[in-house]
Amino acid sequence: MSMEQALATFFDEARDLLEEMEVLLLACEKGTADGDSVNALFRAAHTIKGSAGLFGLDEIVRFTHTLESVLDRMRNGELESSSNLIGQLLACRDHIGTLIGAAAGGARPEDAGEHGERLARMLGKHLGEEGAPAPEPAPPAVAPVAQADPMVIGPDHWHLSLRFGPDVLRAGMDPLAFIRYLGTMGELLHVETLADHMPVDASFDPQTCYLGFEIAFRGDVTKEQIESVFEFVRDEAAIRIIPPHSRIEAYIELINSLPEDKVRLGEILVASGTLTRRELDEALRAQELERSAGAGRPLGEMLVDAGIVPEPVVDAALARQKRAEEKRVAEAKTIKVPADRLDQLINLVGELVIAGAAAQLLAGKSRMADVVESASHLLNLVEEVRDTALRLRMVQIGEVFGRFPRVVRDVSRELGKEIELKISGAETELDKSMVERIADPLMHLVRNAIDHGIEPPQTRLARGKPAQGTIVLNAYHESGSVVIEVSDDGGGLDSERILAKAVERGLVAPSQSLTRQEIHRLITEPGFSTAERVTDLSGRGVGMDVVSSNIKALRGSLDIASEPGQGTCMQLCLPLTLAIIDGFLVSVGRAAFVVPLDMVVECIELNDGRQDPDYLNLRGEVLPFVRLKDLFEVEGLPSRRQNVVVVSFAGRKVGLVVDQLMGECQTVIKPLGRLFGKLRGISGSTILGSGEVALILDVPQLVEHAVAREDRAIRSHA
Amino acid sequence: MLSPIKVDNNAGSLLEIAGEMTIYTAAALLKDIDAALAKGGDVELRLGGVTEMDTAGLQLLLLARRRAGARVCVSGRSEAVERALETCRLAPLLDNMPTGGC
Repeated sequence: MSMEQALATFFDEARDLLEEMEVLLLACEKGTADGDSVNALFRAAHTIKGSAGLFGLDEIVRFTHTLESVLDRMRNGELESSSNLIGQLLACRDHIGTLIGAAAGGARPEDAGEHGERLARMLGKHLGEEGAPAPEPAPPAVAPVAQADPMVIGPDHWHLSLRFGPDVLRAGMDPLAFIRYLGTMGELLHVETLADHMPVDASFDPQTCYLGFEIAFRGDVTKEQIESVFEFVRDEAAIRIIPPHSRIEAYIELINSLPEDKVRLGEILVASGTLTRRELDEALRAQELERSAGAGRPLGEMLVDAGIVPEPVVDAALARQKRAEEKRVAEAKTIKVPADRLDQLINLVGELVIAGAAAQLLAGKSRMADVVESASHLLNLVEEVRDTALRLRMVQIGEVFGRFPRVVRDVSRELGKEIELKISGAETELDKSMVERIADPLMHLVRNAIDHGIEPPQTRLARGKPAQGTIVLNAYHESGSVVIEVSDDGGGLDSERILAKAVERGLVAPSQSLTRQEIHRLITEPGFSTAERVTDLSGRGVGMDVVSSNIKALRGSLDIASEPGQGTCMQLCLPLTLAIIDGFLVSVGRAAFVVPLDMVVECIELNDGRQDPDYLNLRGEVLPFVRLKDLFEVEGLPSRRQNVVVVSFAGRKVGLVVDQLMGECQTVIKPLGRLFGKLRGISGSTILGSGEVALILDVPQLVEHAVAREDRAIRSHA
Repeated sequence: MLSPIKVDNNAGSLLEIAGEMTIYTAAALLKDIDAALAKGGDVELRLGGVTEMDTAGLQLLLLARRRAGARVCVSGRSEAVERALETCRLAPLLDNMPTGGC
């Protein structure tokens, strides 16, 4: 991997980590964080720091280091979390993002250095505060005069179990000396000398050591250090060192904060300090022996049984191991693929679809049953490949939704409003290219909701509403489209004000009467704004029309529903842009058209003896219809038998009058080119299996056309 | 180095141990203790002159205690003895023994 690639990966991962940090910080603020959150924050900062260090990004390293120290204090309980602190941490996280962005080649704000200094000073205050005083030096090993109760493992005591082995004296060593030495490292709270094995009769050997010792020890030491005291007797002696209960907490914390590359249980335990390397080796050797003898216990069980490691610590290590495993497995489950390679693949699949359709056509003509069957089988497989390939480009909308909690938090704070953001349907998938282009319009709609929709807390209370407003982001699939809703329980659109403003701007004649829907639509006119205050965010009147045209460019639609005093719902309906679609082929005169199949509801015959030239009674429903022959000015006489293809978009149904119904077909959308950009009702073209060109109908536009015509008709009759 | 031992011929025995009470002297001291105990009657162990005491020496004390119970008393503990007893917290064991003039 080249340096550039490695750097690119680092930037990607750093961004992911920063995102994670944001989510965690927001959860901490809300109080929905779990105990591991601060640890996770620390780990994230730590990882960024470490990786930045590898690439020599010193500024990032320095700043992140300070942040990491603060997080360390927090997770040690030396620093208490507070809303203020979280706010500062979020600012720091943002700064890291800025630095990383600048390092990745983006713009570096001029005041970045100064800003960083300020933030660092702010963090420094949290570090400079003297929290816990430095631990007191261990008192000299003067045994307390009063003997404590018999051995109790208190929260602060190490428990040592020493059996020196019979030959220790002959080897020239004295257990008492070891115990005394241990005493210099801390406090020997209790020593129990056990002489159970000492024979009283003639078999007593004065040079054999029969004594064992159970010791309660308190000291600021690691297990390794204690173990090293008995370095020279290790081979013959049975030394068991059990950490104090309070240490168990520390060990568990340490285990949870280990980097993920430690997957083996023994390694995790050693890294946490609850097990010494020597103990691990012994345990592994013992395990080997057990295994070769046919038995064999898991390492964790052995260690707990032998009393070498307390059970809660082993449990924590096992849990950690599982998490690390899961992460590895999950990571192995995804691959990063360059987007253009994916596009290439889909292009090829498109060609495959066309070729397959042509083959099937020819097969049909051959009238050879087995050829037809083979071609059919082939086409089925191609369809599957097509579906799978397209799904590769699908991305969960949650990616975009993810930005909003922070925005809502920051902006509502700025405006002094209390707003809760609810998100549902984050798993709804849509094409990657759409996701990127929908982000800005959504952002604007959410900001509008915050700025103009939700009222200030006092106003809400006065209206009998809860002081906290709610904004809901929702997404779901519906008949071939993706629907995204931004709703709020604020004050709703003020129709009167909108109408007044529209009249003022000359968009509407004063005598015109408009439906409420139409009034709402006015806000998407360019330059329109009823905001009394132009804020930083909205009110300049450049927002809604841009939103509306962005959505139109995606061949989607924007629906506005609002009740004064109750709230507003902005509904975006977007087609699932597919490069390849299942279509329904129809003919009008000599021209062929394809209707996207997922918008087709049903087909019915049209009796020509209809009175009403524009409407059908579809089982009691009024169905407006569009005669494609007229709309597209297709030459030729209307055929005697006509059909109506009923299509649906955004909940509205329209009937398309065509001549013949030709059946289902798979088509690859070929764009028409800019020359035809203004063409309404057509979204693309395709090549049929026969080699002919068919035009793909733009159902949303056709529906809109029909609806607009309906409105005009109503008005002209009004 | 063996240490001089005085043995009284009274009703009880007095065993004065001076010098090292360690693994090097343990075997010999054991013999002396055994001899003193075999005499019957009480045994006083005077430890004022002990210069060094290790685990082996400690074991001897324990052994004496176990074998003879209340018949054994300890007097004049030297600093070395005190230290050894302190390290393993066995002082109470000997505190419970009658001291001097037993």
